[in-house]
Amino acid sequence: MTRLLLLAGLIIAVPLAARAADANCRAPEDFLEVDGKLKQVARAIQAAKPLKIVVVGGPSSTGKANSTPAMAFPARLAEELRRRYPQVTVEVSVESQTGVVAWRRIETITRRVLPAMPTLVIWQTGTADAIHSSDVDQYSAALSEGIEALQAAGVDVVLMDPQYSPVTAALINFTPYRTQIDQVAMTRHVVVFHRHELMRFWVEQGLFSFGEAAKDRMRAEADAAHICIGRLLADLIAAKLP
Amino acid sequence: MSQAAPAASGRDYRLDFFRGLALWFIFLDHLPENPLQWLTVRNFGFADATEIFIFISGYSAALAYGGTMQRRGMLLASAGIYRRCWQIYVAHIVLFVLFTGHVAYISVRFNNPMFAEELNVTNFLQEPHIALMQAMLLKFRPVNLDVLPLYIVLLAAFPPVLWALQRYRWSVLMGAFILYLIADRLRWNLPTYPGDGVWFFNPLCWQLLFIIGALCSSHPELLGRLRRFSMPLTWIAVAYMLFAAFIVSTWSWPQLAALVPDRLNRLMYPIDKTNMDALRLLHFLALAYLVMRLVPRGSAWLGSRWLKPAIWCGQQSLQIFCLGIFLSMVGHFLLAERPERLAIQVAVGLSGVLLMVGAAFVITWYKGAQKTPTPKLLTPA
Repeated sequence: MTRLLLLAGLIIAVPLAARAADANCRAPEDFLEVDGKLKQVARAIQAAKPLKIVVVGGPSSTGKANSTPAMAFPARLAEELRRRYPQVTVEVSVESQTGVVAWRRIETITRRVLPAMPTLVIWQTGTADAIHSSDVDQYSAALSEGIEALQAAGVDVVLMDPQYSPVTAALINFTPYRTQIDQVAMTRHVVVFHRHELMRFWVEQGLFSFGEAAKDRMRAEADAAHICIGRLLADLIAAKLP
Repeated sequence: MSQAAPAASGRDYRLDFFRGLALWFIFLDHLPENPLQWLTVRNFGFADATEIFIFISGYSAALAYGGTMQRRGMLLASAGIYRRCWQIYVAHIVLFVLFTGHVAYISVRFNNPMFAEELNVTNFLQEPHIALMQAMLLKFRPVNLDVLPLYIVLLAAFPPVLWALQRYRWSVLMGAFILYLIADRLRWNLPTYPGDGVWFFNPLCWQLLFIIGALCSSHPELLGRLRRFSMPLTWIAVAYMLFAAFIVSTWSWPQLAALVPDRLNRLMYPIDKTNMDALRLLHFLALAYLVMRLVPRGSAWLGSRWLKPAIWCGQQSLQIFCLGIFLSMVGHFLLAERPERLAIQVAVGLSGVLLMVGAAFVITWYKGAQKTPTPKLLTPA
């Protein structure tokens, strides 16, 4: 019964949230103009081989804030990619732990992510380090090390920076870590999904509030935001194919 | 810079003016992203207002206590320095209490599950006794409360440095430089709470800038010697400033980033603020050198009434710094409560600066009024 209800909820929720998202999935003008190319992804699409994507990071990818996990951005990304590349089998999995800083994340990457031989890893990073005020230099070194390990194994990388909300931005200093993400990406030609800037843009434009509200409103907003993130991630991946 | 005894030639208003400017910049840079931030120094090169603030703090600390030390001895000067240290410490604790109140308020009201991980940052409220102890030990410094602890540590270590500066200035500079290099290489830094983080501004590295500032003010003749090389130095400084401005602009305009060769990128990055990256230090030194050339001491325009607001702020730097940090918290709070429209952002930024100026004016007026002797009318003839 619960499963049926969930399914029914999903059937109703997805189109509703999707409709809300259509109007709201706007991004800053230069959002897709970032460095880097996704060669392995392009190869998989051209050869119609399975496209294996692993999302590494904190709990924002697991869908705890969404009405169902299927509404979280990894599942939305899979959906978007399947729609765009119907000939390709798209498989998106999530490797998520809360509060893991970058240098400890390397272990996850080498032990758990690389053996699965993904085509692309989407690495959400910066939140835990900003919360723990990690050594910024060490953070940057860890980021480089992780990227090197992935690239050496022939895996494409997309870095995704921390989420934004007006309240959390008042409590946590994300700037030094976001700067490092950009600097490391610049030196290693890695694609960055500027989630922080994107969510800020949404709040500025009045499209989202990311504040406190009734439970179901917050959930609906999370769903709509994740639909947009999934869609814009797919846009970014498409734009970065060589 | 030719005047030998600063005390004899009156106050150097350049210090007040640029410190006041730095305080405005620090306030603006601490706000949520704000269009007025485009005016601040960090958009034109590697260094930002923190470098200006720390350099001028070192410069004026040597100015304020160096004279006392020469005339009345080490003991009195040290007492003066520790008195200042204590004032800053108290100011820091007051800011901490305000910040904690802010966080407590937010943590009760804000429960958006989308930000469950981020809200772990409020966990310290579950152990307020430990958080308070750690704050008093300067280990727990929530967001934007990083500069004052750095200043406290630098001042606390200053008395012997000031004494040595008057006798062994080159050894002091060499020592500071070596400590800077070693701390950067071996990752020496002070610990933070909670977890195993480190100070955002590593005092073992930032001390170099503070000591350079102190050296410049206690030995002004050294800067005079630079005059022989003024042409090449000016060109080098200008070239480096232009280079820094270009690199910084590639951060905002990725199209420009393609023009920077990869090898240069690998050489430059990461540009680290914690350990005051050499690129930042050089940028500040170039900036300070050019300012020194362009604005000689006692320039007429420093007397202009238009500069008074910044000068007032610079003269009351501790109070205005704290007010700025407090106002940036209020700014975050206001902007989190309503949609972030451009006009509101600009209004918050401008009114913050105005409040800082207003407070600085009142303090300056009050201090001046205290110093003026009672009017003659009231004193019996």
